[in-house]
Amino acid sequence: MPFRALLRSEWSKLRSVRATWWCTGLYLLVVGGTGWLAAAGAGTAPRADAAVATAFTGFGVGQLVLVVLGVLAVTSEFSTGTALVSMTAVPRRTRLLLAKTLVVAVWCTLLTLLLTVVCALAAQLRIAVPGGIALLGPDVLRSSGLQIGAAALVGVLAVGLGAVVRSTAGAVGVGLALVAVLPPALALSGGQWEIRLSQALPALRVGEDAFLAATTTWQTGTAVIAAWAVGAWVLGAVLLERRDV
Amino acid sequence: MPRRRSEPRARLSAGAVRAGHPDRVIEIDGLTKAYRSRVAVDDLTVTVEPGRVTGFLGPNGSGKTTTMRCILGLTRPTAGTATVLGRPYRELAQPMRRVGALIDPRARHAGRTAYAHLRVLAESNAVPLRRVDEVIELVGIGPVAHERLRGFSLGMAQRLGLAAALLGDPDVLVLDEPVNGLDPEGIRWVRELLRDLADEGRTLLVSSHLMSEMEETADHLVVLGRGRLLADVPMADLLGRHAAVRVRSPQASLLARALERAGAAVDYEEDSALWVEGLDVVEVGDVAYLSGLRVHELTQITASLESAYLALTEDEVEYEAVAL
Repeated sequence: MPFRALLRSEWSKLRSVRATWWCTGLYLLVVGGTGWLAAAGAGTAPRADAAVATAFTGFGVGQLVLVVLGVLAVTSEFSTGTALVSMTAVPRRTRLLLAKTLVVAVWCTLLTLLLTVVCALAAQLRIAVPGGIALLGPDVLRSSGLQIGAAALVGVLAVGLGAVVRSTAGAVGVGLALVAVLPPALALSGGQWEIRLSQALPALRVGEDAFLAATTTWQTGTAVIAAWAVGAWVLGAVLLERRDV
Repeated sequence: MPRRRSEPRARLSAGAVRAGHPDRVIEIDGLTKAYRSRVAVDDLTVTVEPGRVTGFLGPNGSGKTTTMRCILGLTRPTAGTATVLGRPYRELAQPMRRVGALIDPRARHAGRTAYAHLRVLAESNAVPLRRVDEVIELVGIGPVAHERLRGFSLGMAQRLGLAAALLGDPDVLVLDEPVNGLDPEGIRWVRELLRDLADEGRTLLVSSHLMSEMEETADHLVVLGRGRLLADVPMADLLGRHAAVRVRSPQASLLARALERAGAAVDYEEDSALWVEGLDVVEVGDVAYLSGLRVHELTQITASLESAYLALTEDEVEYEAVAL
């Protein structure tokens, strides 16, 4: 079975349900809207990187929408019974999951790419910075690259969680706990081990968001999200192969 | 019930031939599926052959659906194997082009349109999209093809499920209760469709709980009871086995004794006619003639599939009761 055919099928699957478009619209609105409002509210910033960070604030909450999008791509198949038909049509389940994951990850990447441009424009047009902000300067490119990578990885993580848990409520709950609830909760409790643990969770904005997590370097944050994404995905694939539909 | 077959093997696919058993398109060998609290399928061995409709019967919970799910690789057997065209289903490349399946008409996303549902399936197996339009017309859901599935009745969903099964123009069809929820016109349409597909040499395994429907459609029967094989027989044999002869005579008791000597099982009807099993109408007539007994009525009673089936599954229940 050519893999391209599977990708085409999964893309048709994703775009033929409304939940995808609700999530897409919400993600664009939340991240883009927050970016413009935050930039307008800030007005000035001492350096370009601070201005970009302000305009990119919305990605923190926005990634929660991507969790829902990725989880639903899998769990809606189980809740509606479509999984029965899908796995009869494509009995090689790991390939099926891989195709679905790629489609979700690429969709998350494209939306985030669009949003980084929107938010970078917000920073450039709305925030006064000594020397200005170059749209293709190192500050913008670094932040954009990180957000795009994090969004794709969050998509993979969500698909993996969906395959492991199978229930929408369960997988969304676990996903939100991992990226948005536990990291700040642990960080706030303040103990050394709690902060370590917080940093080992796939926090929003790859650990650069000081409000919602114990901060880490972006390298550590990205590596942590990647590890969680790969771990959840592999577990999901193994369980998908082994369990009855 | 012999039926004319037009080139029964012509369409048989290479896979089965390569495996060396061209007649064993679906091969179930020692299949067992045990859940925590019960055994759904118990050491089932059966083969399904091409060019005929094999009816798959059994009471509720007898393991029909579980068996079909094992054939399609959806459920992992506890023991034994199920192969299609000589290999496990999960090893088939582009399986929709080889095997069409209908397991659960409710397996659909309510927010998707019928067309999108079929398009997703067609694309996954590299089936050209014009085939989607073809099957939509074939099953008669053209007017609602672009409506969301939320509003589909069970009958419409069955038609959609059949459309999905037929998408890849497969040689093998595994259909669980395909007429469930259809109106009389739809039932007749499915019957003719299955008949045509079998006459083209395809292999059909079709479960149903509608006995009258099966009687019209199936050539061969596989009957399950409590997960075990009760019968694997041509329809005509099963009906013949449960056929009887009704005979009325003014010398009923003499005739009954004569018939029993000839090997028949004889019962008295309410109107003092005799109900004879084990001999056909010619033999009963001959016995009466040779015994010099007068006969006032001699009637062939053909069994309905329903009565034959009930007798068969009743035996199973009695056997179970004794075994306990």
